[in-house]
Amino acid sequence: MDKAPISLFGSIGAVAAMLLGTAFFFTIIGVFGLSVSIAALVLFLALAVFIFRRPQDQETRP
Amino acid sequence: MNLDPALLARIQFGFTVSFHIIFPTISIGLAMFLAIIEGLWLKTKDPLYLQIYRFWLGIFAMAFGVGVVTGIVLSFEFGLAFAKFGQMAGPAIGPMIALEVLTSFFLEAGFLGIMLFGLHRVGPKLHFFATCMVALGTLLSASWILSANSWMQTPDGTAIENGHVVVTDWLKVVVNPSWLYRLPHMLAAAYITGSFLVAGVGAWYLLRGEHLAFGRRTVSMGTAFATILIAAQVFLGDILYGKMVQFQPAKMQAAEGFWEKQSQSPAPYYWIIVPDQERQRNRFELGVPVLGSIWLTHSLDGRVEGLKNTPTDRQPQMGWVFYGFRVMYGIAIIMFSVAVASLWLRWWGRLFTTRWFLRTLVVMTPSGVVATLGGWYLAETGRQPWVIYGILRTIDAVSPVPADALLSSLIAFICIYALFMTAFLLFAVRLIRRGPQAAPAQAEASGSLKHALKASVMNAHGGPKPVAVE
Repeated sequence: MDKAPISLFGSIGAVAAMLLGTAFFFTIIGVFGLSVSIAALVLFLALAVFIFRRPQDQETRP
Repeated sequence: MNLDPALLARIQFGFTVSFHIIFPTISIGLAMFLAIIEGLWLKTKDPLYLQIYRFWLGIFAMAFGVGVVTGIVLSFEFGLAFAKFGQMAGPAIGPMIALEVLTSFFLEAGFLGIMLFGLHRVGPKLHFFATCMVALGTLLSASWILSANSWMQTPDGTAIENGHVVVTDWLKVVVNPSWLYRLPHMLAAAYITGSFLVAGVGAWYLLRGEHLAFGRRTVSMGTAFATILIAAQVFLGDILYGKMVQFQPAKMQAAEGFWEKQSQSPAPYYWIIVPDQERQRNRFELGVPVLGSIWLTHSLDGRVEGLKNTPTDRQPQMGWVFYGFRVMYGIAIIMFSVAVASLWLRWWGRLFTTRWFLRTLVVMTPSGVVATLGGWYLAETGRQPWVIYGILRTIDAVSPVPADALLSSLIAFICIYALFMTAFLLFAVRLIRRGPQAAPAQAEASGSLKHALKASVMNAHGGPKPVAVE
C-alpha cells in the first residue's frame, strides 16, 4: 500500500472520508429525524471503536 | 464622565464569569481523564499510565485552584453588583449554591489532598478512589451550577410573593425544564476540552521528537475520547437547540441572524452578519444558500423565524448571541472534522506520523475552552434582557452601588485576574516544556510560596525519581 502523502488513491480516499464525515454530521444533527440521528450516532461510535484498534506506524512523516 | 452602573455591573460579571469558566471546564475534563488513566494503570500496571497521571495531575491542580478562587468571587458579586437579584431569587438560588458546597466542595476537599499528596502515602486503590471522588465532585459541582443557571433560563417550581421568589416545588426548581438538556451538553464540552488539551500536548511532543511513548499514548487517547465525545456533543447540541427554540425563542432567533418574522425560502445559513439592532436589519450578511433550511428546519425550503417576532424591548443584542453561537458551532464543526481525519489516519496507521495532523492538534489545544466560552455567551447574552427569564429584568437586578465602586473593582479584578492567568500559563508551559519525566511522583509541600517560586527550586526535579518508560 502506497502511504505517500499525496497519492491518487490517498486523495480519493481522503475525499471519500470527508464526504462520509459530512454525511454523518448532517445525519447526527437531526436533518433526517431523531431516530435516524440516533442510529447514525451509534453507527459512527461503533465504527470509531472498531478503527481505534488498528495498529499505528511509529515514525513521524513529513 | 457619566458611567452607567448597570453596564459596569454587567461588564464586571461578564468578565469575571468568562475568566472563571475556563478553569472549571479544564478541571472537570482533566479530573475524569485522570480517573480513567489511573484506572488503566491499576488494571494494566503499565508505568506509562502512571507517568501520564503524574504529568497531568500538576496542570489539573493549578486549574482546580484558580477555578475555586475565581468561583468564590462570583458569589460575592451577586451582592456587590446584583443585590436585587439576590434579594428576589435567594430562596431558590441560595440553597442550590449551598448544596454545591455541601456535596461537591466537601467531597473535593476531602479527597483532593489524597489525590495530590498521597500517591506514596496511601494504597493505590484508595488513591484511585480519591481520584474518582474528586472527578465525581467536579461533576456534582457542574450539576448544581447548571441547575441554578438553568432555573434562571427556564424558571419553574416557584411563585412570586411580595416581590420575592417563593419555592413551591423543589424538584421542579432543581430539575427545571432546560437542566436535563444543558447539563450533559456542558459536561461533554468539559470532557472534549480535556481531550483536545491532552491530545494537543502529546502532539507537540511528537512533533519535537521528545517523550515519544507519552506523546503517542496521549494523542491516541485524546483523539479517541474527542472523537466519541464530539459526535455525542453534536447530537446533544441539536436536542438542546430544539428545546431552546421552544423555551427561549428570542435567543435562537438572534442566534441565527434573521430579523424578519419569516425568512426567505429557502433560508441561507449565515456565518457573518453586521446587525443593526436599531433598524432591525443586517447591514451585511454572508452565508451558505439553502443550508439554513436544511439545518434549522430539516427541509429544503423551510423558513426560519426572525427576531422581529419578539418585541424590541424584550430582544437580546443579536451580535453577541449570533457570534457566541457561531464560535461554538464553528469550532464544533472543526472538531468533528478533526475527529473524522483522526479516524482516517488511524485506519491507515498514520495517526502518530502525519505532521500536518499533529500540527492541527497543537493548534486545537485550547479549542474546547474557546468553544465553551462561545456557548456561555450564547446562553447568557441570549437570555437578555432578563436575568431570570420572564420574571426579573437585568436592569432591575442591579445593586444601588455608585459607578465608581463598580469601575474600581472591575479594574482590580482585571489586574488580579491578569496575574492569575499569567501565572497559570507560565507554570503550565513550564511543566509542559520540562516534560513528563520531570513530573514529581507526588506534589511536595514547600511550606513557602516564596521558596517554591525560586528558580533553583522550580527547575529542580523534586520528589522520588519517576519511573522511566522510554
